[in-house]
Amino acid sequence: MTQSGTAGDARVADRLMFLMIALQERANRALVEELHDGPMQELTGILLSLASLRRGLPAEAAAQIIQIETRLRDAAAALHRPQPPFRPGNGPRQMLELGLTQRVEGVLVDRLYTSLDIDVAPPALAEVAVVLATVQLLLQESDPLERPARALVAVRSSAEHVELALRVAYADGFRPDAATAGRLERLRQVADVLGARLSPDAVTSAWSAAVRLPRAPSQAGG
Amino acid sequence: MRTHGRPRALVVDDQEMIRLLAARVLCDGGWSVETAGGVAEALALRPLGFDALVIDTRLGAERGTELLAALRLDDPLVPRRCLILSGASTDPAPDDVAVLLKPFRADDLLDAVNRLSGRPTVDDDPPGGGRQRRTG
Repeated sequence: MTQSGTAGDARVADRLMFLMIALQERANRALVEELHDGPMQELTGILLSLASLRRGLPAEAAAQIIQIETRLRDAAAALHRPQPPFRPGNGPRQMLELGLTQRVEGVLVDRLYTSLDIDVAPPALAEVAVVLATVQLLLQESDPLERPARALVAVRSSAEHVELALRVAYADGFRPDAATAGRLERLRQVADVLGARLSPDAVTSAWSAAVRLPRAPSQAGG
Repeated sequence: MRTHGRPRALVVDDQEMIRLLAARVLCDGGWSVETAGGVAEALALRPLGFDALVIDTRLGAERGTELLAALRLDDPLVPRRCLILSGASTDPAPDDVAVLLKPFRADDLLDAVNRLSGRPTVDDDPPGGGRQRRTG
């Protein structure tokens, strides 16, 4: 997959990206279990205990306790994690959309626009993972702390290839500067490993990256 | 199934605190309640004889959905009498079973269980913090 490396390098990079996504899924599951076995159980116990206590109170005080119970329940409900992208039963489009929504938009970029042309020859799970990981790694390397203003992720899959195009733009300036040069140097190194073709915008600080994943015939439609 | 005119509910949760508090809420709401801490204990209580089954999704190493699957073999309509308690919206649950997300208020629990048996509820609106499904 790499431009300067070997096919073996590409397989290693793909495998590492797959493992990175699997690790994210595992961490998410661990967090969910921790929440269930800890705070959610405890909060449920508190809410049920409050209900028991308020039965002996005058009506006005009991009504206030009910309000507290409702606020506590609603606040805790916000802690519930969304459905994980790679949940069994999710199709490739759902996996990719959820992955980009949960793990890219608001995390690695302020606004994310997507164009997914993947329904005719849907990518396999491993290919979805590689696409998602590529987007995450490039955005993370582009700026480890701040988020770019906008990114467009376009994915197209055919029987022969899965193609990813990523375009990233910043709000902080229109002309390339020293920071932009540093960013591009870091990005080039990661892009080489990922097999991405990096294209800096000559006029602005924006950049684009493109990846084409060759597919084995059996992968198309899987 | 009823005991002294009260409908019967079985609460299955491995956490003793939740099990006892939930049982108290249901008792105060007019139910006759028995409790179990796991699948085997629940099965020993002949769960198909209850009007409502309140089952936590996670019962230590076991899953509440395993208990539901076992009961479904003997009574395909048993999901209509089941309420799954879940600590996470990501927990898998069959589509034909009502689910109540933790944390929930006592009234949320009582309402959800009353709905299983068609009894009047405290509030006709579904609780805001819970997820109510009933398709079966």
